[in-house]
Amino acid sequence: MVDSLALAVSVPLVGGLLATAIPKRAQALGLLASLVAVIAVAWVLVGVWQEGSLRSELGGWAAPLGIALVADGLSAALLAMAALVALGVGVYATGYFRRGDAAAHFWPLWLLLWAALNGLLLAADLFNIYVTLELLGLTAAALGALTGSVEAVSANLRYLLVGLLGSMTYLLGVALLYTAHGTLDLGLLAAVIQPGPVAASALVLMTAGLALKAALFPLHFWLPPAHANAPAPVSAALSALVVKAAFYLILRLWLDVFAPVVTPWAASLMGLLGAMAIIWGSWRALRSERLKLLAAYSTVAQIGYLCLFIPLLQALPPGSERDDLFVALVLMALTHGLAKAGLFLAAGLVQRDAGHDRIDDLGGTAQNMPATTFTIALAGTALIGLPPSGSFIGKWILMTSAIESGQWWWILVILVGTLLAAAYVFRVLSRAFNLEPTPRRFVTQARTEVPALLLALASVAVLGLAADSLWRLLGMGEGA
Amino acid sequence: MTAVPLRKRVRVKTLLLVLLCGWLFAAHLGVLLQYGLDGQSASVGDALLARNAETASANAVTSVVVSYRGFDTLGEVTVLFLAATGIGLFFGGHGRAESHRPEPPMSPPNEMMVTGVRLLFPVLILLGVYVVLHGHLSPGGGFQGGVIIATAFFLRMLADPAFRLRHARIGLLESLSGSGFVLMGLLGLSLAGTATFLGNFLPHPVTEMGRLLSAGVIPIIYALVGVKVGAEVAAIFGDMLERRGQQSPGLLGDESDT
Repeated sequence: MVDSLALAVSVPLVGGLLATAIPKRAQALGLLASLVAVIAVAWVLVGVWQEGSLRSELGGWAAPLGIALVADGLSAALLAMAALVALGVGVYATGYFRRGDAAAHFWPLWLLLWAALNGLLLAADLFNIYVTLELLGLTAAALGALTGSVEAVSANLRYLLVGLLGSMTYLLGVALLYTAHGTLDLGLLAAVIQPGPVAASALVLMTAGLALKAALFPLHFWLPPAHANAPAPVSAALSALVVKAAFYLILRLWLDVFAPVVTPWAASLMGLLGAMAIIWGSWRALRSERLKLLAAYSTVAQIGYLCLFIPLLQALPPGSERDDLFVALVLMALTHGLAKAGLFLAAGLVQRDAGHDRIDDLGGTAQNMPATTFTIALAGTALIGLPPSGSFIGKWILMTSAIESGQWWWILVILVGTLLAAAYVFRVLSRAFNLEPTPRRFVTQARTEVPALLLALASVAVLGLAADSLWRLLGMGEGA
Repeated sequence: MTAVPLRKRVRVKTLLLVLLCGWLFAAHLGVLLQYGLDGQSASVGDALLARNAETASANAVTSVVVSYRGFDTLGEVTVLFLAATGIGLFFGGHGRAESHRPEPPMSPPNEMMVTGVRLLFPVLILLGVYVVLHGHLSPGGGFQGGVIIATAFFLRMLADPAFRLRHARIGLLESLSGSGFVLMGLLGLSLAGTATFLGNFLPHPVTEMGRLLSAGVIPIIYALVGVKVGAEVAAIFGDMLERRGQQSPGLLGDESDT
């Protein structure tokens, strides 16, 4: 069997390098590489669907010496989400970047970011994760500063430095683990790790570093300016994928590697941070004056929801309820990824059409760009968690589990967060609709509006109505 | 928060930061001292040396860098590539015209410099190529040799203001050597003998160990890494030097005053 895991990483990597070599053909090469990479990811997905999990040892060297790539249900689901978002962002970028220069710089960096992301999701080695994390942070900061404006450069310089600090902290934790156990492979490490000062320090350091990258409250300060000032396709990728990647690593560490080390107290602390992120992020989103800033603060809140799952997952015993909760967590992450990508892409269109993205002056957007407004509404539906979106199911299971595990206080946070989310989404919509409804055409620029619309639609309809298959994908991954 | 004077706030932050670093240092020291300096991780080194013959690379470090953990190396080379691209964007963003070269801002380099570099340049290139090509035999390899080659070009740029790197050509080199690395990996993936990414698909018998042509695909990959690292580091030097050349004379005047 030919190894599809290595292809998922190497195809975008080669695409990025070739796009650097031939800047004039960067866009065509980039689209081609995106298509091939999507096929490779689909191949991984089929493999995981059939076999439960895939593992490939690079260079033929087994774990203590070499590096392995592993795909299970969780990583396959996130890979597929990344591929969908990446395809949407790629098509959108062909219509968004009109000047040749920006497009020539966008494609190599974007494809390298995608390669790093796929590498991170498939990595099964702590140091390899560090390398991909570094690559991800560098490409993300470079892409964010692509506009070259003073705000964008300063926000992304801060993002770069924060990201470096985060990876350094993570690396300190890795050094501790390697000294103590002499292995970097996640599977081998999970087998030998024991509660004690080494594991506890390593967990704290690695989590702190990753939390900085995942913009977990109170370490989220860098995110809103960086995401709000980046070009629209870049903000979509940053918010939907890059932040999620760091959270994926936290999840991996807490649930797989450090499972015996995690205490209820530590898990509750993560939940508490998540709860504060929900309230604070939603509140700031409600108060923000610009549409892209609103979307960025909403990301802070949505990362908070994902953190709420950690204390509940820790409290529930293994069984079907815990599996349900885990699927709900992935469902929330996927829904947010697609919805936020759609929202940022739509916000970019609004900004380009109106010349600004001040929410109070958005009047007439619904008439000028009906499809874009519809996208914002759809994405908002998913962010609030209205049925039939995936986050409705996610929040429902989250609340059920909170009652079952006796931690009812999280429900209050979820309710307040949902109300605030409804408020900030409807605030945008009410401004957008406040002129006479005389829409002329539903779609004004197909190349940019359709990807955004499809991403938002997928988050609401597809993930909500077809969530069953996610159970199978992840359930198989757990059983094997 | 705004009510507190700025000076006071910064001091508290600094104090907290120092305390945090101190605590981290103490925690690390306390944890690591239990393991001694050659604690359990030495077992990895032993396993690695025991199986080193399988790669047929006389230099065990190269086995780790190119063979066992070749995937990490691919990532690291890409990180370096990004750093070079970022510096290029940052320094050479506006109006880098290679046709009209700006006036040399400083006095021309002195005779010692010019003659010395003329002597050193070929020797450095030769040394760099040697270090790259012998990466699988003796200490050294693509990273080290690449930097030596880049240094040679850096000296040349210092000594001869008329000498410019062709950015297009450097970019092509970077991208082709990087693609070559991935291509080697994909060849390992697609050929039946290895069928894994970055597998060593060329014959690498142990009896050949220590010869120049041995260890299969390892020298090829290391040579590609050498080209890539050399091109990237040279591009970084070039970008910084050219930026200096474009600076306004006022800034340079300030420098000479101090």
